Amino acid sequence: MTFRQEYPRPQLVRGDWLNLNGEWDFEFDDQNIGLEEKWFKESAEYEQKINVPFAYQTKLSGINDSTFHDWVWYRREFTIPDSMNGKQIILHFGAVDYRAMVFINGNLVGSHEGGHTSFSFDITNYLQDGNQTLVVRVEDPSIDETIPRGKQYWIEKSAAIWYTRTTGIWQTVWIEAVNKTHIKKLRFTSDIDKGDITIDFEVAGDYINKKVEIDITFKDEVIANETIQIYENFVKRSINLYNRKIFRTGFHHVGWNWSPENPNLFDVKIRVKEQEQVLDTISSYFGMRKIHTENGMVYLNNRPYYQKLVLDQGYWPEGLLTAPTDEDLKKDIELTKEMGFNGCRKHQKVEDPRFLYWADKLGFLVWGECAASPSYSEDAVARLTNEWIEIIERDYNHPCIVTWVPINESWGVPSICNNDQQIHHSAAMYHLIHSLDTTRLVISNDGWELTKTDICAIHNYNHGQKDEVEKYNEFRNSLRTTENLLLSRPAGREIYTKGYHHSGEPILLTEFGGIGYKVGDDSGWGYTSVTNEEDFLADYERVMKAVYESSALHGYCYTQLTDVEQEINGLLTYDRKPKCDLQLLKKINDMWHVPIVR
Amino acid sequence: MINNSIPREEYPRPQFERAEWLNLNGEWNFKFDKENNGEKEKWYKKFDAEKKIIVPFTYETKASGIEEEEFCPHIWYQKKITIPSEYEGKEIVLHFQAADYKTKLWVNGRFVGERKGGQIAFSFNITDYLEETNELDIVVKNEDSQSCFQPRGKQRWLDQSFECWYVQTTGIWQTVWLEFLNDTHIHTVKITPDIDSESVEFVYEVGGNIDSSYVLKTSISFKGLPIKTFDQVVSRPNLTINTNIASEFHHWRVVHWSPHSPNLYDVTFTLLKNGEVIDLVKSYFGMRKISIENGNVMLNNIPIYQKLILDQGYWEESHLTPPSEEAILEDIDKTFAMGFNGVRKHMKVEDQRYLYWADKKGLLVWSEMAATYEFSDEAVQNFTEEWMEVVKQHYNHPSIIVWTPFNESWGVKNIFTNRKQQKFTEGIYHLTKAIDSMRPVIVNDGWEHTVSDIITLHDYVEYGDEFLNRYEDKEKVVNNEIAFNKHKHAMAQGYEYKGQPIIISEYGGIAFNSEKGWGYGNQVKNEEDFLKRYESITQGIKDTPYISGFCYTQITDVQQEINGLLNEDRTPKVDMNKIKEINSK
Repeated sequence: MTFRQEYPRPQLVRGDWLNLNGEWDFEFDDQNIGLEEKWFKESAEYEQKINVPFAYQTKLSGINDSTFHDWVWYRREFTIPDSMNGKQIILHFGAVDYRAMVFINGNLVGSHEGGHTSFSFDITNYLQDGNQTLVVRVEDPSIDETIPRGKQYWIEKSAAIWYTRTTGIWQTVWIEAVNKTHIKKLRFTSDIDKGDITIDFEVAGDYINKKVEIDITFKDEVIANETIQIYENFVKRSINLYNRKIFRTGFHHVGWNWSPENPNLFDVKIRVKEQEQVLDTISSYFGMRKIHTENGMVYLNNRPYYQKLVLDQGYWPEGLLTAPTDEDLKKDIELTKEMGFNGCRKHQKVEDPRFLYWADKLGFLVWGECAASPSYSEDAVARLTNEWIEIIERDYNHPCIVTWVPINESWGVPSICNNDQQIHHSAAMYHLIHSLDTTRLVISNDGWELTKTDICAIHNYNHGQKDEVEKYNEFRNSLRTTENLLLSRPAGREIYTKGYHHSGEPILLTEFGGIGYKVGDDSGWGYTSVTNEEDFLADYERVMKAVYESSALHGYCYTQLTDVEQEINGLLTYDRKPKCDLQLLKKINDMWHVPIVR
Repeated sequence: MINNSIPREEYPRPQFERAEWLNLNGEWNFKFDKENNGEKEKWYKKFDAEKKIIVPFTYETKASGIEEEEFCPHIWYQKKITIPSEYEGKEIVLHFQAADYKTKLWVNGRFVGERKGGQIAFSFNITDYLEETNELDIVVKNEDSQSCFQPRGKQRWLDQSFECWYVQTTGIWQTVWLEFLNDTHIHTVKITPDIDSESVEFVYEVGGNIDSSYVLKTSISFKGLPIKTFDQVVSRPNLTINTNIASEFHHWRVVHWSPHSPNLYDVTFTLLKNGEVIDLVKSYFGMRKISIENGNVMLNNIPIYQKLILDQGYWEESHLTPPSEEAILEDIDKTFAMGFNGVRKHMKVEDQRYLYWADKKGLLVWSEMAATYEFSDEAVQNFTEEWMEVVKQHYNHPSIIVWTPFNESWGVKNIFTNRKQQKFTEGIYHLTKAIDSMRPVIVNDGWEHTVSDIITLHDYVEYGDEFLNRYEDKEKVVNNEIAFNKHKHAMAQGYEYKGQPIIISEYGGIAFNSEKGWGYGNQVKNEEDFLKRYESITQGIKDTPYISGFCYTQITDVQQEINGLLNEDRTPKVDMNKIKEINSK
């Protein structure tokens, strides 16, 4: 059975494409001799099979081996469909962890480093008549602590908060056909204060005498239909959508703005034409959405918005980092919303664009967080920086993403409390991300030891077991006021690091809870634990009450959506079964909370 | 030029020197590929040579033997060489000290890889591309563009030169060489001196397969006298050692590096396996500290007045490539002879041989990145990736005392008010410090500072009295009450002066009367007028008490810019002793 057949890049859809997921040849190369022995040649012998896009560590891959294999090789044949003849053929990889070398018909086409971002190569010049052989060599150093690895443990057996590794291809592999002249980059920036959408795009190839048609529709109503004569390969155009119509703005109601409650999206069609000949057609969408901070609160579309997030690691029992089906991505969002949350913090993972697509469609806030390296080094700095630039390049257009989290709990900057280099690294990520994206908030270090930041994000798991009354009261007290929050040292660490201090940014409790509740036979752990559904709900309510009664917190992120391997602190089991009545959870999440007082 | 002569034959990476190497400079086959057909036609399989070129000089230069100034976006190089049999079984690494802008490499008809960035050194391990014979057929394609999103420094992006932008540099412009290694070898060593604790830190990275039978020996000496030797078992690829280097060899136990006494410690790193030498690398370091205290720049905890000269590193017949080792030495010697103690290397990451001689001779260097000229995500990405490499590659040089990623708002032209561009410079400031926390960083040299360790101002006012008048009240300058150099302000909007040292890091630019080029302000008639103006403005800066250094524009004429103290061929335009006298007053 072939998995993940849906279109992999929903933000930029073209008709002519071919999905290359499915059964590939596969080989471990533990001695790292493949390059020398030319395993990229058609004649090389591969003994194993793998089900792409699942990593060999997963059940769905058909291999299900959790031991270390730092070099692995993939191979498959394919033919170019007739419809693509004469066009440029682009080979795309959704994600390959960590370094990839790609060969077509025995020739190296290119390399990519970075396990979470998408990349592609123009393979036109490497194609031959008939069958094409695609080989991918992957290097994923299992024990290197200076590559961004997130929750992938550098010791073979999973433990504590670290899980089984993901090596190699873990998102869809596909090809598409384009004319030489085509849209290369497309970027939407919405401005709800003016009612404008700004469209930036780059035309690759010969642009002389070409024009671009842009159609924008909202719920099938045509809003704009513009033609731009191209004089330069970079084009930027703003189009007003609200056109002096008050009900389109957010003034009386939601209007045409995007929010979790009203996920309004505009559909866009862009055609590149030469005379009447269409050279490229793409479909996309955008939302009119603004996020900013003021008065210690986060505002969505100019109204204070209390974020109720859940920590979501994006792991599946049979696919690890890869969702078995598109439906699974959608289901996680639906279940989370059903529980009364309005978003998630995707933890230590850059999620599949299909997830972001469903979040856009269904109305779901997402905080984007990249995988961290455990240790600090100059190479780690460069790797994280380069990866973030690619992340923003890829995911900038998603209205669902409202916050970027480059660093979490000082991972990768373990000595940030007094190490100048590491302090600068955190500050650099904050500023650099804003130099690429001023439409979102950036948190320089989610949890503690913050530097320059748009949200003061604090983690605190000290709510105690239900009979630990004093501990619980201390927890409540530490959340109650801004002053108490800033003086709290939840993990023995300062909230702001040396040289930085709180300057009015909103305070959110972005990790807490983690109540362990074992369902079934798996052994595991949570931050505190209960043994039945009733106690689970009672404990959840106890913890949430402390959050909701705070006059200083302006949102939260509960740990966590699902169990993951040995971690049993999910609201759902690892296979997404509710551990309690979700309606009752929603009732607790819907409780009245103290408005922020300034 | 004789075909078999090798220009730039000296060792190209003096901070990390090995014995087993082969210089590939000299004659290569060459082809222009205007229409970009080469890859489709597989020139890497069969290279029909049309021209010859002398590497490492670009086709635009006279030294290359081609001297064609018209821009060509795709060019190809090819050379066949035979690996000397003594290196059989070794890993073969092909190094490019610099090639502008993208480099694609094929060896024996097979694609090896691709790199981009015109200012940095890069390499490819090509061992697996060797066939049965010891022949290597090396084919290089360089792709360049007139894009303002790629760091280009002083290279024009139009077909003609204009203002202070010169003929472009396309393709290989520094030494190409082969290095022969064992699979297990010393990959990098980052050296950080700390004069306050009289110690030095080495951070090693060992490449290839390791096990505990490997021992890394570090031997430090000073002018042949042994100082320290220590062995480490290579238990993991990354090792760190911090060692005290005080020794009885000298009555002060430790000697510092400074322009007056450019003392360098030699260090040898030897990788041994069961006593057998697997790798041997020679390097050196200087004990020096650069810091900022109370508005002063301090060298080794003592305030230093910087007398710098702007140096673009262009040569008449070879453009960005120093034509020879002697040419490098001549520039440094003349800089000293005119009474300067350092250079601001402008819009160029300089050749490692230059930095080596700066280390040896005690020349202070400000290292500046080549600018992009338009702001975009692509420019941010190109710039950031390359700049991180620059800082990593040049970290060990004691001569470099300041990083200057941006100059005069180039690439961030709306920084005065634009938040995104301001954030970019702040990002680069912190990123530089995340890799190198020992050197001051000036993010935008000249004006419109955001965050910066030194506030630098560029002002081409001609005479000292006018200068003194304008700069009399420091507060007015740093608080943006006074504009200078055509309505520029010291600080970008939203940023405050925080007591940093102030340096006039561009001024002067005096040119003699001439039709063939330009200088700043009015041109002068004769040497006497030249010196009068030079003295007036230089003295004006020196007489301003809160200013802690200057950088005169500039050391040599460059193409249409004729405001050097030296001609483009390095002959003096004015008496160098008189310049020295004025500088030394």
